[in-house]
Amino acid sequence: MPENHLLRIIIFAPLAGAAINWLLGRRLRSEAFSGAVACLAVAVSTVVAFMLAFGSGGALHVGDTHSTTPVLDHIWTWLQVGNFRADFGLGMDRLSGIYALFVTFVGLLIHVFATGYMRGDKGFYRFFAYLNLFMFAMLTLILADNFLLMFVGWEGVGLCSYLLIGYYLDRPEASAAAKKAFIVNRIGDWGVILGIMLIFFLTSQAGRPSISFFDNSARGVQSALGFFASLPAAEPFKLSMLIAGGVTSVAILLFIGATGKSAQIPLYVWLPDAMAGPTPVSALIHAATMVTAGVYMVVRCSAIFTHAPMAMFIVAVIGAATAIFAATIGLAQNDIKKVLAYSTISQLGYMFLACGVGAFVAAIFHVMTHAFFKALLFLGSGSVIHGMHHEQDMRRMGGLRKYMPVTFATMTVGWLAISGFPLLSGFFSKDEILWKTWSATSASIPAGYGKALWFIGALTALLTAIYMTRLMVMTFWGKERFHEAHGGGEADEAHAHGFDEGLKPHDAQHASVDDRPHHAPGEHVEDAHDEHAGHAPHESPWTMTVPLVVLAFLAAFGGFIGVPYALSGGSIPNYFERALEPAIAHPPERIAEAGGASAMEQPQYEMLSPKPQQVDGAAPLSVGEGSQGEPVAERVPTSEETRTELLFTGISVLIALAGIGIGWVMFKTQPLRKMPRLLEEKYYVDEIYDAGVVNPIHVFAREGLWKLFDVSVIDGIVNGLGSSVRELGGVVRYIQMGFVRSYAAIILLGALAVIAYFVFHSIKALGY
Amino acid sequence: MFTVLLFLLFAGLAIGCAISMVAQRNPLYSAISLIGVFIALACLYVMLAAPFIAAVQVIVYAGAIMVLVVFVIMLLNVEEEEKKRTRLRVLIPAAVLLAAVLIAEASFIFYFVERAGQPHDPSTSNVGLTASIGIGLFTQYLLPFEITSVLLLMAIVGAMTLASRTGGGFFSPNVRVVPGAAVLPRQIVDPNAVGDATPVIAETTEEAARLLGVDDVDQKPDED
Amino acid sequence: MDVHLSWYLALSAILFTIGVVGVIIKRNIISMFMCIELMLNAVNLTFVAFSSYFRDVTGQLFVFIVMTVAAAEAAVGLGIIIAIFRNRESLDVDDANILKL
Repeated sequence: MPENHLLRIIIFAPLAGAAINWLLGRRLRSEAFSGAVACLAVAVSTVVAFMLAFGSGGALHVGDTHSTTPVLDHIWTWLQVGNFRADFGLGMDRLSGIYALFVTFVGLLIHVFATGYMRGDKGFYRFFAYLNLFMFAMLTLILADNFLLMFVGWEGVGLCSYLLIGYYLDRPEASAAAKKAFIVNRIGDWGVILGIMLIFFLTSQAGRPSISFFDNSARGVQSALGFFASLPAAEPFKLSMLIAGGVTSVAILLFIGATGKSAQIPLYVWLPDAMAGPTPVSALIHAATMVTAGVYMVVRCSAIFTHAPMAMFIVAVIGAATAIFAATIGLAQNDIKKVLAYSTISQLGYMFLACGVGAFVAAIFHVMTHAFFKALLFLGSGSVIHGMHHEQDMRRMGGLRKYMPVTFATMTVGWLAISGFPLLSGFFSKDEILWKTWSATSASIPAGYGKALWFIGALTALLTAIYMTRLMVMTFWGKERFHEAHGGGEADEAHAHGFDEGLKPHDAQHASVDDRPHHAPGEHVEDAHDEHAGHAPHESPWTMTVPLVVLAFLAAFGGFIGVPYALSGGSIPNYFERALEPAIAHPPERIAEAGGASAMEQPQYEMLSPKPQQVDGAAPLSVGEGSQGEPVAERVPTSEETRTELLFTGISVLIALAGIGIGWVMFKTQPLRKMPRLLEEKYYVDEIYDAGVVNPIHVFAREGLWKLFDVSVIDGIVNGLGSSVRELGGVVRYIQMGFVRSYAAIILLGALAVIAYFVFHSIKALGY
Repeated sequence: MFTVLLFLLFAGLAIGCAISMVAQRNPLYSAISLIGVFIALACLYVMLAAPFIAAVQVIVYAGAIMVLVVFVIMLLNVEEEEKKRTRLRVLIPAAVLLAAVLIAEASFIFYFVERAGQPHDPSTSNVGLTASIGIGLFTQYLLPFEITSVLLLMAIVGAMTLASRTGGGFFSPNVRVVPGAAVLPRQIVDPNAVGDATPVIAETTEEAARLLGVDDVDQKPDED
Repeated sequence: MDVHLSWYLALSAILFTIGVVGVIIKRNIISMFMCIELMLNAVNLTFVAFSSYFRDVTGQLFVFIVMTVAAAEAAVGLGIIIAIFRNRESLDVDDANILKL
């Protein structure tokens, strides 16, 4: 087991950056210092991650297609109580290696962007301290080698999300959103904790107690996932298995946590509100990294999920439902960041749909490409918002492509990527998900459901293209609506007024030092106007445009590392699949009965032995036979499957182009077309939750627990004790009040007691 | 038979006078009732063939002690006790309860004594004769006798000390009285006030201090 | 039918109880004092009764001593009462209550 102590640098560099910024940056109050420290810390992490992933003996095993030996780093033994062992140890294998690569790299780009975006903000050092702390937590989550440490990272990113969403301390809606995010996440964490406990319980029952991911014989640690992988049969496809306390229960509990962290139904409500934080935060946390932690956990536990077909089915159904649900809401939002937020929720639904049908590799691929184009879109929107003097309502934008060419160009790339325009990254990943959904043969998807799920996915893709086109059209084309003073929405009258005086938006041209990025609506920001009135436009700072360009490049060409076999005919290897495939378990195949009805029997593993997660560099199992009879990591599909796949690829392209076309036609001429009220109000889900869950709890807490229990019972007991002691003292006090008569009475009482003693004594002595 | 009747007569008299003594509000009437009790007890002593004790009872108790008490009552001009009781109302039912307990305990003893049987006929005893008492007192119990005489001496000395006007005793006649509070002799604050016996009656300490002409009185007044 | 010893004891107990109740109930110092005398007399009666019934002179000697002591006590006690009266102008025993915690 190769142990590489460089691994810990990846997580400790951002932690050091956070500490330095918190302690020193506060004193120095220098933006250059804070920004440099933060970006340098993440850069160090990035470099080390690349080294460890691609280097010799690295995690991705570049030349070797079978080995899944992880790079381990045991920092110290954290808990060891009886059988329970949790170490503060890191492990980078294929899955976490890929994650670490794009998390650190995209994180670095966003850090650089933020140095430009947050200029002039008074809490600059605090922002970057939190941002680095977030990177620390996220990397701990990814690189942890056991469930408990992963959960520490899980909670850590929740905490940093809270800190960063509520970063603008003077905005109550920001702190309310931060609270909401944290609390809703916490509801999901309940599931994760129970899941981890159940894992430990099940492994202990089998005599292999463990919560680790990897085997580490040198430290005497066995892999819990290995145990699950070695189970001979998957659990039956029955709803009752969800609460049976077996593998399916574990899977569904972990998935509940994933719905909280990755914003699926029913726990997605925090993500749109989280847009109250600064845009780099939205880009980093709520597009690229934190929200994908749920997907990471599900894929990491693929060995568990593949033995729990019912859970996978639920995952797929919820993923698909969330995807289309969020897409319909995104269609009607007017705040540019809210559209992107719902788009994120929708794309996360795709990832879970992929997990549910057993296409874990496709899910991770989509995670990566989504990180690229969603971060790009968020940063681009940040640039737009910055240039529009913090106007976020799209109804007051329009025609910005003249003023912000760089932003426009890069956002166009992102738009096309997310819509699935051919050959861009989103096209490859989304198409693969849809194809795997249609052709799902896993036992987790009963026959026919695969087609239905594909249909929902395709409809969502259409809606995605439509609303993204709407966003682009409303923002960059058409009449320049910012000149008019529109009422309604969150439009800031002050800004509209400012633009009347001839000030134009600009492409993040210069840092307006006094232009605070946060203010109450309606507050007249005069200094901004004065600032702009006297300045001539000049080159935008490279800190904001360079990351946009790099992300645009990745969004455009990043898909080429995962070209499926069908499209390339084998000429371009699917690097991504090769890298990740050996580490993922396969679900068992669905058994089809002769009668044609889909069988829900317990799938047997003889049909196609699922490859358990490779651990400890054991003898590799072959997935399929290549033409030369040697084992290859890539399963070569048959020519009929290839034809079908190409057909569906064509359908996806048509859907993408149709969506773009419909969006263009609907919104180019009429950008302010009113969307249905139900969608605009997000199906009133927040209101339903408030009425159904939040308010009853409030009322219960206030009336029941506080007024009834705390005041009456607890205070009653405490005060009652006090007053009873006082009463008792008041009574006992009579013993010595100075009144001779009471003294006499007490003496009499004593004398009677003595006499009574003697009387009874003599009665007993006399035998009565 | 006859003795029973006599016993009941004298016992009833004793109890009646005792209850009267407790129930009367005027202490003088109480004193008279107490004398009645003593007389009844003396008669009972005679029935018990203890003539000496009976005589001593009448002479000492009824004749000396009660006279002294009546003398003090007259001297202090004691008034009737006021009907309304404001303090320690709880003691009345408490006293009744305790009395009931006492009676109950005593009746246990009586029961056993009753069972034990009659030892002797009291009317034929000769231990109560003066001669017997004298023999016992001067032979076997001589020491208590002598000690009792010393006790009487102490009592005389104590009484005289209490009553003396000058020197000893805490309360010289020159004191100003404040009901319910400690008192400052005026000569402490005013050396020329020796011999001035005008009583000062005040409701509160502050008023008394003002009347006394004392500047700052920092005594805590009695509460409750 | 003869008078039994226990009758005398019962009478004595009743007188004693009355005296006790009087001590606790009465507010006048002199009345309290007189009730104490009553208690002493009840005890005297017990002593004399036992002495007669058991032909022992010790009981009556005890009574002799008790009476002497009661006389001495009466003298000194009344002296104290007068002194307190001079001090407080009140014979209410509840007014003499500074001997407390």
